[in-house]
Amino acid sequence: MADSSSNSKDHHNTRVYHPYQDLNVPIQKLYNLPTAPEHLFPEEAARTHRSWGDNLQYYTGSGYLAGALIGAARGTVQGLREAESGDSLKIRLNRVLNSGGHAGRRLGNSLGVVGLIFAGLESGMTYLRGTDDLVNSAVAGLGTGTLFRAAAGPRSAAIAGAIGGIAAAAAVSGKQALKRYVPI
Amino acid sequence: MSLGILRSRAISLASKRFLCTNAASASPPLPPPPSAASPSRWSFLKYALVGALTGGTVFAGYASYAYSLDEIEQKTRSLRESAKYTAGDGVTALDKFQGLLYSTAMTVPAKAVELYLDARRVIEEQVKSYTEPYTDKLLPDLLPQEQHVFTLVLDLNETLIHYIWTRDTGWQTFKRPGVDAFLEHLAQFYEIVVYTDEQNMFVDPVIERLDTKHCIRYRLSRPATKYQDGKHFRDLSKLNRNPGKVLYLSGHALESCLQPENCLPIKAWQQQDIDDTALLDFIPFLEFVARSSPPDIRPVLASYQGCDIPSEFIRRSKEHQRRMQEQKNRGRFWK
Repeated sequence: MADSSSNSKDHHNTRVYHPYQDLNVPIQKLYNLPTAPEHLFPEEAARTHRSWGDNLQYYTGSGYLAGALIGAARGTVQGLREAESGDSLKIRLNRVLNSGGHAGRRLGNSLGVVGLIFAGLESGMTYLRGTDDLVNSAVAGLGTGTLFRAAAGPRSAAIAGAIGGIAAAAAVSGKQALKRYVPI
Repeated sequence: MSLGILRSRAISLASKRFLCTNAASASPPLPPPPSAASPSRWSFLKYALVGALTGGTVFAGYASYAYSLDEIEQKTRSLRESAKYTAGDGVTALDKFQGLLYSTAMTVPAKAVELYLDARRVIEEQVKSYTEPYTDKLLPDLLPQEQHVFTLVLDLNETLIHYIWTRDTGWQTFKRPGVDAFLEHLAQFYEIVVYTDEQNMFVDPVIERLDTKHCIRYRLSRPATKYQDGKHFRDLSKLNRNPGKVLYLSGHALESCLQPENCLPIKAWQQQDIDDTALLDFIPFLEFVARSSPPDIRPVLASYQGCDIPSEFIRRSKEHQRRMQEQKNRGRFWK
């Protein structure tokens, strides 16, 4: 905050400037100038991560897209492998498209739901704990796995929760290591 | 399988040959066309009409490009007057007939020209509602006790603030160093107006954050600018103020204003220039202008043309002080 020197607060991170210093006039006006770029909207500078809404859309959309692409590719390969001798081109193409579409949609839906649950739990954890770190992601991953497999029985839910927690922790650690050691 | 394919191909070839011979034998020679007079006449009329329309369109396009509305109206007045024939006294029947014939022949071009003028007038009025400021008086009248006050018109982008978008941090808006002190100090002497070519929805939140002490009296945005040659210009003549008491301060002053004699060019600022002191350097000059209150600021600014105004002002002040000191010394020498 650039202000007259009569205002004595917030003198750190500023320097004093005298626009009349080259004139021999008795006007004594000292101004405190900031030494770093000064934000007009402090909330812009304070923003360090996506909001919970952005997170929800990002994880759900990314999960669905990744699942759809992987599932479609796998279904396409499976459809190609199931081709019988004597099939015409139309029948072969129809089988490939059906298999790819079906597998892609199914895996896309699954990963989209996983992303939705993970984003919701992580945002909830960040809100409750008031901090954003590895523990939030690991606990959110554990909760996601447990919820996703809850209908399949307690043993399957426990295993899925463990896998989810380990995967989330590994992903976050990998991302931090990537940012630190890979020169981008 | 291959034998079947060969058999089907032979069958198709045979059928094709049979059908060809059958069609050839079945079609008798056509009788010759009876006459070419009617199609020739219609073709001629069609091409004449198309040529006339094309010529008219090309001429209208050239007229739109080369002449303004008033010029065309003035040039074609004689043509449009010749279509209105009034029989005078003492003319013979033959002259009356000739005049009537001439006016009838000229009716079609006159009507076409009038149609073109009306269409162009309507279109230009529509366009003008977008390109001109929304009123001729952008600011309310000055109070009677403030007739001597100068008006300081400020730009926003790269003059008071700078905004950028980056992939890491999104939109960020930065304040120029010293902008708060600048506005607070000069609000004592000037009527401060922000006149920018940004949209309303950008200007209002920015000024609410920038001007927490309400030093800025009025804010004008893009609808108040004049759109000309693909750019939005500030028209200081529409501010409803004495033109001799208006100062326009901007980082792009001379290329964004229609009255360059009222401009104060300042260095355009971006957020990486953290040592910038241009706003505070302008305070001595602007305070001096407000205190001395010249009747017309334009010759003063003309004398500063091409210079960096704050440093030139300091140089002139030093020279003035030196001259005053010399006069004082000369007086003492005589005594």
